[in-house]
Amino acid sequence: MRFSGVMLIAALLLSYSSTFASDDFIAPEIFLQSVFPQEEPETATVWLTGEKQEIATDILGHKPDSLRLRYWYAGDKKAWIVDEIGKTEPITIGVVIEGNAIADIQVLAFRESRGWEIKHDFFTRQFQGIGLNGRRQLDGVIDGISGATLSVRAMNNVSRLVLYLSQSLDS
Amino acid sequence: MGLRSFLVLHRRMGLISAFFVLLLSLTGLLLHHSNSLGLDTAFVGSSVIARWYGVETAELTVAYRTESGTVAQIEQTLYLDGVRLEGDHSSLVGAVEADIGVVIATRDSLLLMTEEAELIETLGAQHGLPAQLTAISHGEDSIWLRASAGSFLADLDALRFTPVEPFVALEWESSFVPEAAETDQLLSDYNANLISWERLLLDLHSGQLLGSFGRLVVDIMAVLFLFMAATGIWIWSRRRP
Repeated sequence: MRFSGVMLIAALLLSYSSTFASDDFIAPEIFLQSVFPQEEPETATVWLTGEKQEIATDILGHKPDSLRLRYWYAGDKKAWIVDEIGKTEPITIGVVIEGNAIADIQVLAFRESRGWEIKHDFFTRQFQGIGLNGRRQLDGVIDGISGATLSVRAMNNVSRLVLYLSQSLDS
Repeated sequence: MGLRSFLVLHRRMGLISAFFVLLLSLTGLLLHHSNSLGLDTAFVGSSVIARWYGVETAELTVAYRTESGTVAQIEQTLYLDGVRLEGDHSSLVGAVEADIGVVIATRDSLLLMTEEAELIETLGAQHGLPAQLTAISHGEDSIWLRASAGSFLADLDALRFTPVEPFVALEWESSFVPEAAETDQLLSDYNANLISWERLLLDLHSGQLLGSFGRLVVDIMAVLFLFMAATGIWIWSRRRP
């Protein structure tokens, strides 16, 4: 009786946490303020046309949803906010690039009921210091999360895309 | 009941269930790879299927005319010159043509579109867009926005939204009622894109497509397959040397 009661409570908590997680949201303005606390960043755009569109399509596995991506910058730091589909709904991902590596990555909005584990520090801190190798793959190992394959893939692909675009701007 | 009788029964059940084995195997295989095949995001596009599902017909919510076309909304779906735009959108409040192409204003965003209905960029609160837009207007070389907080002069290149009252009287974009043929075409497209291939395959696989009759048939087939497995094992055991 006691055991079944514990199981019931655990099941309720798990179901509650899975639905609660999908409601977490960090406003993009708040994200940008945290990235650039001391200064007002400039903003610019990158047009995803021609070769850039081909490479972006190769990285994402589909044609980019928009023709240009916006970024905010101050000094050597750039912040990108990108939407990418996990399974069926878009995940809003904020990425900070310093030099040629990821300084920080955050899930700003997660709209699906599964895979929300990617928003936790234990997963996102793996991206810190990661750059791109010559094949436009991440140059470090990112351990996946069982049951969140598509969300993890979305994070990886967005990371690769913004690293590539940042490099293309610097060059 | 002897071995020969079981063999005959097993053979006949096999013939009856062959079609369903093929159907379940094929739909099962497709569903197993639904995501990689894009079946969850591809739509059947058939008004016949939509009617079969009894999908409730939506109404055209609102439409605005630009210099060269129409921007319309049905529920949360936007159409630019008959082309359905990706994603769900908040309430459409107007559209204007500008140097960049077409600027579509919803309550929470500005969609910058090419004239071929390709999305250039979506501007929202993180870009400083005023909250709760209610109208848009195209003045001489300028775009004006009306929001709950007042009027704003928009500079989409510099991403500046300056709160200021218009210098001259503006004609804020107002909605219009499209011709019946145009409305029917939009509604037909909208309704035909409500059912994904994944949904259809799931309902075919489970029998749900034919309602309770279909579910009963699938249940009977399941019992038949169990019976075939049992008779098959029994026949094998009787035939062992």
